[in-house]
Amino acid sequence: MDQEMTETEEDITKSLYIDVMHEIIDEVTLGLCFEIHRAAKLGSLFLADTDPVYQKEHEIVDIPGVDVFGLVPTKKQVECICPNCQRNLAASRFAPHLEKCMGMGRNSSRIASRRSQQAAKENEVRSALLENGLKRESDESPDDDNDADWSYYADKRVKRLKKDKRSNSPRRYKNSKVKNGDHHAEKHERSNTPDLSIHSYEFMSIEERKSLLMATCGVISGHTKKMCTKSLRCPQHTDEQRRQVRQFLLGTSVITEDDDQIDIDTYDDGDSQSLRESLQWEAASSNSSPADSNSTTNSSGSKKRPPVKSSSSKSSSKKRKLKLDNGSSSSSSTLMASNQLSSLYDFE
Amino acid sequence: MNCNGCQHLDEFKKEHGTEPYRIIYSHFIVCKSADARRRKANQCICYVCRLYAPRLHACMSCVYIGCYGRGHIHEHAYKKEHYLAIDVCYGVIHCFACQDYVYDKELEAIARASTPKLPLGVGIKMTFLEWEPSDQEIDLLRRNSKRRRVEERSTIGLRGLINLGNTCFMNCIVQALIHTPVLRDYFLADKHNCNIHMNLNNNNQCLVCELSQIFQEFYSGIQAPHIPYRLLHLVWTSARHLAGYEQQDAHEFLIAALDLLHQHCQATNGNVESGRPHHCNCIIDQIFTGGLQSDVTCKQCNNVSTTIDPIWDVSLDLGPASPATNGSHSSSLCSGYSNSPGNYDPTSLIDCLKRFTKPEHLGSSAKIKCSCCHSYQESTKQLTMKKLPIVACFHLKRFEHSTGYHKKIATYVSFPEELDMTPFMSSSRNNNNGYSLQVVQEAARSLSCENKYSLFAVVNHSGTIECGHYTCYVRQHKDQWFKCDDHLITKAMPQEVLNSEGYLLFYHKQILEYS
Repeated sequence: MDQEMTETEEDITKSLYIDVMHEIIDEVTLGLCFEIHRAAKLGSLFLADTDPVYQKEHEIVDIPGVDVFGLVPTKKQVECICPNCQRNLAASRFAPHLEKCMGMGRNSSRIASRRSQQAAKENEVRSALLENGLKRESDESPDDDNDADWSYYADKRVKRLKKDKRSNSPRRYKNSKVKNGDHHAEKHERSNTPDLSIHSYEFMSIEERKSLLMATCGVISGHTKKMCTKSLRCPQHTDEQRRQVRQFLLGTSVITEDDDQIDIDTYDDGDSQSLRESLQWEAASSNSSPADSNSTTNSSGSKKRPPVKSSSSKSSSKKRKLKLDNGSSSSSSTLMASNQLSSLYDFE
Repeated sequence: MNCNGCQHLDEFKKEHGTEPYRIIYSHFIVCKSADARRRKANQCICYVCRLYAPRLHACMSCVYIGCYGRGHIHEHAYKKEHYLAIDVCYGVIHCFACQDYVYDKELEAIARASTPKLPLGVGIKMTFLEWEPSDQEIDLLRRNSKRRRVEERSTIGLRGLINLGNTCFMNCIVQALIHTPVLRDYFLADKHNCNIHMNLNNNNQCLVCELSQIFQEFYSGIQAPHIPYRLLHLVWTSARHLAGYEQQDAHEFLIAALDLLHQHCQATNGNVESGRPHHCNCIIDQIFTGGLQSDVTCKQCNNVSTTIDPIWDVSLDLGPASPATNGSHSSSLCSGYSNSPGNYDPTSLIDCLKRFTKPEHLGSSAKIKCSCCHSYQESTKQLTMKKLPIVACFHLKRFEHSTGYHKKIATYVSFPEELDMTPFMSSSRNNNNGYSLQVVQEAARSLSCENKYSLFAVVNHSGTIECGHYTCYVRQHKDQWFKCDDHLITKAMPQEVLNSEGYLLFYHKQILEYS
């Protein structure tokens, strides 16, 4: 009897538990219903829904060889605009550009600030150039005194300037401008360095030159105008270059084994092209900033240069140049040397 | 589009005001006191059935409660023409003339006002209020229906970053920050209201704005990589010591970036308290700042002097302990630390943390003046975590710059997906034994999630100390991992992440309390 009682009691408690449970569930459900009903009334019910088509477009792709977007990774060149100078440039080169542009960096701030000043100055020059066309020629002539190109290619330069004017590419412009802008600095450096510069060669005796060239490579850099002081087997220069420099510095007398006398002026374009390239390569390999390279002048020079035939106007300009450089020099061998020298410079 | 009730409710409000609603709501629906709850239990029965029934409604015009299920409230409404009744569970008004539930802004405001801020009895400190769009926002959302959501298998929120020339260190930190859950919520909720550009008269000078913009870029759905050139420019202009085109340390950048963000936040909020620079409530401090407690115990009198310093990251030593520490351990205190790893290379993050929080004997060369016994004494120093940040950054010191040589320590250090910081808390500090193994075991067994963290980003460095490359793993949408290698984002397996070398480890607190 007792047993039955407890059993029914248990049943009752159990059913009460269940009732309470159901009530709670009902109430919670009701709450949800009110929430939805209210959202529907207010018009915010389906606002959070996403576009299934759009979501499908953005599904993760997990296939080897492509990224999560399903794109094949390519080194696509993207561009951005420098917030500092508003120039358009390749994004992958933005950081090195910005360092120079802002004159920042842990070690290059001085150089860069100087450069940015020059850039500003050059910008003015450039705009003036754009306005006045060829007026630049006369403006900059004092700067160009020691530019071998100047007297030699006075006629070509006009064409080149025209070309510069036409092409708006900032890179082209930058290179040519920095070259011009750096002239003073370069000159300064050269006069400071005790290294063997080409001018000191001019005052060396043939014997001194010979002994020097017995030990070193001696190829004159088109960029720094210095001689290579590495060994005779230096990998940076070719035997052909070494031969030329010896021929030039020691005069024709030494070169006896080569019976064909090479007149540099009558080089055919193909040869000088390769030499120019090798000289450029050397300039690039020497420890200088890429902005210093005068590749613009080189390339335009090589393209513009007509096949050189001997012409009277040219030799006269050469002589003029010589007078500017050496003033009272009367030695014919030096005359010869500097003639060839100026033509060597033109390979740049 | 209707939150203004119905004409019947308007008429009722004109005649009786809102007071009847307030009275019914506060007495029958919220019931602040135990008495009120007792009364509700006694009185809330259907007046017809004389029983408690589901969906009871109280008449707004007279004292009458009827059930909806058997239609007793309907009978009352039509007979007496009392068309308005309140649901006693939720306080929603039903209009029997309109035959629908109606919602009224004014009455809802009353309901909110009479609801207590803190629910009683339950251990919740604050009630959660759901965001409700305003009419204007609803309109805006309606007109722009192409909504994006971070769902499983969705690439929304992922984007590559173009390397601007040795800027992979920056890209990795940006990826880690963008995938910091709380930071994402902050920025996507449009919480940064900048006024820096008004102050400085320059609209591009706020790094927080720029980060906000990058979040927009990442969640825009655009698949082509983003070019962070503006960020780089901004960082360089704001922090000159970071500027310069050369390879940099990702950790250094992280700290500098956090510092800049913190400064710009402060400038925005204008709450720069002098003298308390680290008691700032900007988002960066809320998320990243932890408190590191340093206890220095005098060996003579056992007096403990305690200082607490704010930290943004925990830098952990790798490799064998330095000779100085070794020496002191072997002399007198070593026996006390039999559990503690000290003289061997740590091989796991836990090992590193044990070493970090281990009492360190300050030798005879570094005597400190004790404030208690007023003499220079040898002492021991122990670091523990006083306050845990929401995001814990662990920096494994892989780059060793000791005198004379620089090298990278490539030791494998395992790190867990889930980390419990309980043993490294100041509250677990044991004065006599230092670090105790027991606490770790207890913590592991306990169900408390209070100090538990989960991994969400790992920055890796490959290569040598002079030149190398940074990549980053980020977690998105629970357990999905992605490898970010500049512009390239690929899917990664969790195991791959855990097996990676690890340079910076980002952990996120699992449970956040309302505060």
